[in-house]
Amino acid sequence: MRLVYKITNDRLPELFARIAEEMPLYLPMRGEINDGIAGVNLTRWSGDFASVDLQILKTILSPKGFFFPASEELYKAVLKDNTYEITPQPLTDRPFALFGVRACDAAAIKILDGVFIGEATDEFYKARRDASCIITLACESLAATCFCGMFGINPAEPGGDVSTWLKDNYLYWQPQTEKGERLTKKLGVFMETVEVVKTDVEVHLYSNEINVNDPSGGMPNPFTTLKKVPDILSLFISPAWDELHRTCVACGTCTFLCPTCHCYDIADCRRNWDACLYPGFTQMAHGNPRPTKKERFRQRYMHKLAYHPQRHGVVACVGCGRCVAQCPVNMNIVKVAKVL
Amino acid sequence: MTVPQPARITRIHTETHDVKTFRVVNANGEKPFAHLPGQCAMLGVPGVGEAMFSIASSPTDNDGFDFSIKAVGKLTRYLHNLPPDSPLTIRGPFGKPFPVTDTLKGKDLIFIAGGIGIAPLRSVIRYVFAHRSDYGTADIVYGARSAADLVYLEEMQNEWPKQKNTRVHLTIDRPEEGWDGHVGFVPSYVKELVPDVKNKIALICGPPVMIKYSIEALLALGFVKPQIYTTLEMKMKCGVGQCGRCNIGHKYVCTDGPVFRADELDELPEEY
Repeated sequence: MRLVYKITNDRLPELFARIAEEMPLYLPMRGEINDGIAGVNLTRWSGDFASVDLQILKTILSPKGFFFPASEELYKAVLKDNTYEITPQPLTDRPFALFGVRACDAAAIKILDGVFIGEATDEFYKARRDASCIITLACESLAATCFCGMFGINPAEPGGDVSTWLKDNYLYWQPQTEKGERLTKKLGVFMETVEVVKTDVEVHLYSNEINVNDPSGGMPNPFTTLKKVPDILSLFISPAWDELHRTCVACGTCTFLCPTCHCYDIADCRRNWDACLYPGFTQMAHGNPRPTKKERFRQRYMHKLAYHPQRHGVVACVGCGRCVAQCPVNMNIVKVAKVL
Repeated sequence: MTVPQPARITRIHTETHDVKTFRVVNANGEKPFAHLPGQCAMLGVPGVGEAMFSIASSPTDNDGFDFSIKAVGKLTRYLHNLPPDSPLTIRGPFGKPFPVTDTLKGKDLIFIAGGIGIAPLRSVIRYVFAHRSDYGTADIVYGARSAADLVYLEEMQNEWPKQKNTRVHLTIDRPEEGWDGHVGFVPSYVKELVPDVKNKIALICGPPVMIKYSIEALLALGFVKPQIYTTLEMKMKCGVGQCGRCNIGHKYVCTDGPVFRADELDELPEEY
């Protein structure tokens, strides 16, 4: 068993400052997100402990942008002597740490790993993943929009490279991987001054205190009932899509906030997040295989609930509930999964 | 996602009023990479666009890659206006090829193509010619809207029929002056031409409707689906199954395709 370190809450600013000495540290901080809208996002530690929010369950944006940025230049192409000189962007090798990642988002990163470090390896993504140290924070309570339990995710056992729990005026810190051990060791003198708990028993990881939300209304888990090819083909032609897509305004908010949505566009040497809900996504010069909102809406949910499980063995949803909380027309994956 | 390499057009051949064949090499004047018939490459012009095209030359052709491109959109129209020696970018190879090294060996081959769909099949056809004794007869059934839309016409009339056990069957949709060949759609022509199904493999490429009816025609003749290969097309960006746009169900055309066996399509939703 890996050791558990017990850090008193009043020493948290010291802990964050110590990590930030080793590598850039990002943690949930209140601030201005965009156009004056306030919110909590993973933000670089600036020493401003008063702005750190360790109660927030859902940062506005998921951590996916740290590995798969919303927009990044992959290479430069400069015309020189009638030839395009191609210079790939250097790969990230600077370590960084994310603190306060919740169990759902940590699970989502594993799903993204399956896509970007799977059949083919995306070197840009992999370099950032290798450089990252993910310090998770267990959830003590859940929001009404949380449904991670539907995917077998335990919000009280959040995983990552280091797991942490806030309880009774302490932050419990337990490395989960070699990377987590290395970071812990790097913190050196600081960690030597904190209490070490030798067994899990003493750390009440509040596993038993948390009731995982079940949005299925007592029905069988709608996220685990799909599997066989005939089911998937009949789902594809289900008349339910004719109604389900109607309220969707195809804004794409759900895809950008989703911690597992990985679709992208490449334009002018840049890679940008893209959304299957947009008509241009599959528009070709001679036509579009998904001509209306119905086909595009169906694609998003079929991808998450059927195609991704078929290909990768896991539903491409972790129940973080960002789409539930932020959809302007109150459409969401739970509603879709229930109808289907 | 792989970063492209610099490339250059060395030769442009006008096939029809809207199709040109571009020969493309890398910065050293060589073929940019190894490939097998049916595989594709991304051609790009920075600032204009990048798109997936099938490689129309055979791995046995050594002077570069041929891409036969119809001017339909922004990038393809731009390419049509380029002079020889223009710079491009290229990345690949992408996708699964036709099974030329195993399943097709020793078989009588029926190539069924419509319009620009002949491009990926030309790669297989030229490969078969280069290894002629490895395969049985080759019947090429090729149709276009009009005689002026037939791509590779010169090559088809002058070179291909000279190959051993090879027949070329051309057809156009409607009768026109000066055309004394077959008139009619490809699928019905296939029904007239194929007497039996023994030891045969059919390879189809063309517009989705033509593919659909050609498969139906072959099944009516007694073919079974594992004897039929086709290629599918979707918009592509990454080429490695990550950007998420070329999927048909859980399959990505860029990695699992573009070549599919007809029975594999039964497992996929009809969205292509």
